[in-house]
Amino acid sequence: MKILIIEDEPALRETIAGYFLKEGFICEAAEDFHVALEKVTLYEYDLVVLDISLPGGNGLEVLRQLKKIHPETGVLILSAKNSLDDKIMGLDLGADDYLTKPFHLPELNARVKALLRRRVFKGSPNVVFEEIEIDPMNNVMQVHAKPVELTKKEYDLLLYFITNKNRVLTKAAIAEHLWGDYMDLADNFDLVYSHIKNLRKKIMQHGGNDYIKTVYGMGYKWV
Amino acid sequence: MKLLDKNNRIFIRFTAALLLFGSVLFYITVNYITRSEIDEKLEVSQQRAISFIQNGQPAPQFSPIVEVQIISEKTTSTGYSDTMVYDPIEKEDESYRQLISEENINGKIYRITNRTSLLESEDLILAIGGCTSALALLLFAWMYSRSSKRMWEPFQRHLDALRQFSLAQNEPITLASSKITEFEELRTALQQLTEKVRADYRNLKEFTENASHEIQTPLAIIRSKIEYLIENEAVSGEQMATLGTVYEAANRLSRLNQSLLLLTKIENQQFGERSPVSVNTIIREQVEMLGELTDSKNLQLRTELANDLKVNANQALVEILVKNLLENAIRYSQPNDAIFIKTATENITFSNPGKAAIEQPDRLFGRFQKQNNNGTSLGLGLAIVKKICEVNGWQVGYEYREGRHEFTVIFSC
Repeated sequence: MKILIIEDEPALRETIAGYFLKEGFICEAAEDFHVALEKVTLYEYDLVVLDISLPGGNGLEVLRQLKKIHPETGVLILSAKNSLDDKIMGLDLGADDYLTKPFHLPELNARVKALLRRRVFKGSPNVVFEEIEIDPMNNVMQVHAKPVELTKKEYDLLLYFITNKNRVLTKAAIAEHLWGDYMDLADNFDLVYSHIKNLRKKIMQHGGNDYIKTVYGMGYKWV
Repeated sequence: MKLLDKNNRIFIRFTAALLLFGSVLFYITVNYITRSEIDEKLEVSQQRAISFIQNGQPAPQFSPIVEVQIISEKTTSTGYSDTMVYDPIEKEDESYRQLISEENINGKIYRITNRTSLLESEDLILAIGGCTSALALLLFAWMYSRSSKRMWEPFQRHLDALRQFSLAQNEPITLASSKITEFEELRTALQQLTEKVRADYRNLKEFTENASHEIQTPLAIIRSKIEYLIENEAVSGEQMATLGTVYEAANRLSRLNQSLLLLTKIENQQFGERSPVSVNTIIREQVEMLGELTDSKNLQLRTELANDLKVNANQALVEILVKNLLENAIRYSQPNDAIFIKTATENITFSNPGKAAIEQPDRLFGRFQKQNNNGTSLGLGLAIVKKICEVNGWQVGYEYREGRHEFTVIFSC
């Protein structure tokens, strides 16, 4: 899997690249408009993470050029501007997803994985982790090949954990992933905890192992 | 006190003093002139009486105007003088001017007295004085009515324009020009001042927005670096807890910043497209999204949605409005409470039970106002609600009624 990260902020670029390297991706990076344009014209990527506000030009122009040459490449837009116009224009130009800064790295990872599942595997190979199998297209989950009834949130949570396996998921990242704008309230009510408790229970009831480990003071980890 | 009154008061005092001084001067002058006229007349009459006697005609007698006496020797009491003479007809003393002279004619000493009544000349003085004063008063009254209305009109217009002026409207102030130099100066000064204020305000708004934007990137770095760092197996439990605190603070700062950015964007009217928005649909969506949250606290969400309420506004802003009011009701509810959401033809009410009315309801919609130290609340939710209402011309209010906190938004559309 080859991905290109177009981001002008060096610290952010390195962190994102480092994160995806750990996922086993081949990562390339571009720091400004011209380098980005050059790379998308010369090489082919499975996915491009694109920051819209770039020095030297507009990220949307890079997207336009990219879609002309390689329409099959997946694109995820990053932007500090929480602007509806940018979002609509980006999606109109063929971007697949949109993430507003500041974002959680596991969120970016989950979005990228989902995007790749849709784009690269055309359809959906099931997500498998040991005895657990998820069919993301049909929102079905099985333990030892037996279906398990999960609520929508529990299902999302499980998928989020597995796409981010071996990574620490903070409570804030989980709350934002599951509840979006209502994350504050969810955080306040300790909903993350109760959902994890229920998910754990359901998997174990069906003979699965407990893979969710608590990271003290931080969150949880799927190992 | 009005400037005009003050001005008039000074004017009245000055005029009164002038009138008083003028009338004294006038009296003295006129008196002097009439006296000399009278004295001349008396002198002529005197000469006539003397020549009468010299010609051997009988001495004229017409008391009290002409009196001639024959005396034995000359006295010193001669010349002009004022005197009072009893008038038997009017039955009172009247003032007269008299000229007494003693002449030796044909061996006899005649004492000749000529008198003229002063009554007429005093009447004349009074008549002239009265007329002049009346004219002065009339002039003053005319000036008053003219200056009060016409002269101050541009000033009143400037004042009205200033009262109407609002920074939020984002339009320069329009002041009509005037021929009066002072008001023209005032107009120029006001225009310069308001332009400066508007420019400063614009800069400040731009600064706020830019600053919020610029803060997002370092915050993103902080967050992602922490998320990257906690993957590291070498981080100890204690370090992890410290990182957790830093991470939480960064998250809070990020949310705070986003809320402030949202406030600024609403204020700057950057949410453009308006369309008819169904409030009921938004409420249903939000209630569904929140179902799980309210269930966990055993809260009941009851909706009473009247006939489809549509408002012409930006969809995203109406969503934020409903979300924030609902979030507020949930946040300040106790387990097992019931939250009501009611819509009517032109308004929407959110209510939740509460023990007592909020102490300072006017501060409720201010920024960073929190009713309790509720962990994750930023204290901006209601400020955002208020701002959304302001830009749309709606009203939002709080009331404590029958043991419930009620927040009502009136859509005046």
